[in-house]
Amino acid sequence: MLEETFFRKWLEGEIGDDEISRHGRKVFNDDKEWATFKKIIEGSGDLKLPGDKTKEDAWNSLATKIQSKPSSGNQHGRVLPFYKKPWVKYMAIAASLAVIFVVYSILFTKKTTIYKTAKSEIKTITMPDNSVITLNAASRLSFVEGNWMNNRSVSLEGEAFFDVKKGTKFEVNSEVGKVTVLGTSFNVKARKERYEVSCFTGKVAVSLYNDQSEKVLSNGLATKIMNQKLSEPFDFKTKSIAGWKSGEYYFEKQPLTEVFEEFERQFNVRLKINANINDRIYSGYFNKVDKVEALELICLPMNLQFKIQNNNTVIIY
Amino acid sequence: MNIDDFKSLFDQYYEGIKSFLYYKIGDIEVAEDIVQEVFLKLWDKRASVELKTVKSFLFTIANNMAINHLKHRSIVFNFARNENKSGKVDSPHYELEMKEFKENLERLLAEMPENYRIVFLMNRIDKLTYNEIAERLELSVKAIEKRMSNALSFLREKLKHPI
Repeated sequence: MLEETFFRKWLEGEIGDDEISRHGRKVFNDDKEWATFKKIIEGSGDLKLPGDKTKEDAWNSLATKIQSKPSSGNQHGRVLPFYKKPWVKYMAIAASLAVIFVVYSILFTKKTTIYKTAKSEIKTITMPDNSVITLNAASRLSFVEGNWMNNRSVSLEGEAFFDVKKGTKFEVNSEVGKVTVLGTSFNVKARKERYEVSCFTGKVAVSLYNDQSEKVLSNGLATKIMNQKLSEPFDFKTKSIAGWKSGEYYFEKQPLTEVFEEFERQFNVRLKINANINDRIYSGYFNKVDKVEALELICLPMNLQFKIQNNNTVIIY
Repeated sequence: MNIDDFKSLFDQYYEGIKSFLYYKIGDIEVAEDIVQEVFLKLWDKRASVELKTVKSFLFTIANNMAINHLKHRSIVFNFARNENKSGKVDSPHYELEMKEFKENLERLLAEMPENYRIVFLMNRIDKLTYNEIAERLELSVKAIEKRMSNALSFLREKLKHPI
């Protein structure tokens, strides 16, 4: 039995204790290690969620909230004769939708194109309509090829600069929100918890998926997520946002953790940070020319030391 | 979707979404709050949500709402334990040993990268199969296999270098 198959069978409860032990001992070369491992897997199966709020409690408070909502709050909320019709009709409609969907996907699905950048790599992509997208390091961009001229929509994880040619609506979708524009240039940074959009020319509209209110940015303005919402538009410095395209990184009052993450991405280096840097804020600059100089520029003002262990590991202390 | 349909969806997915949120955030109270928000959202959108996609709708909303709560938080798990099935009383020594083991396990889980942790715990605690997890998270079964095997390697690696 292959290891993967074995683990899957074990975790899905398909094989008995005997077989688990027999096979498990073979996978691990050390009996003690195997015993601890087995204990972890079994022990985690015995856990359950904390908290004493029952499902009934939760339903009751939910029901109260629903009743206190104005019933006309929804565009279709007032009268729903359609939904009161027998279940069968609903199923019939769902089924025909499914058929339409299947036919549609067979006929019209185009293949998705994906661009990925590794650490310390920057890629420039020219789209069929001559819009130019510059993808920063460790980022991923995907879009559906084919129908590009009519459906200019891309998905982005990471950071990219967009120079969009005038035309139909252009959309950038990220994990938490999206940007809609007609023709303009702007920067999107969608990494971990940070989501920040900066508009360079023209106008862009930004919205979050879980909060429909929209922020419209004109040139020179940016917005970012704060307390689950998009902030009011604020001024930004061109250099500090788009410097990365020319290998220059400017930071203004940014969490030091994010600065180090950017460093790791740009130099493809792993940092071991042996100092408490949570809550520390950094303002400054480094460029992509010289790793040691960049380290000095970050560490000196923050009163940190660094030691280069080998080509791709640096210790910060 | 009327209130009865809504209630049956709630009955079906409440526990699953709550667990998912807890695995992601590590704070039961926040998880319970977000679960409420998630179902309120579903109620608001009841006219436009299709039953066919409601499962992934719920998990996607939960995921998005959780992201904003993760800012600057460290994850500290505090699981409960299932009752001792055999019914016999455990010795204080055994209890202490179990407590220590549980604390170590919780620390290990908190250190585990989120993607692996959620998948791993959905299997271990919610007893879901790889297929069911894939459906809920809208991922391929291959992706679940990969994350699960990453979770296992992570645990193995940690055992080799105990802290």
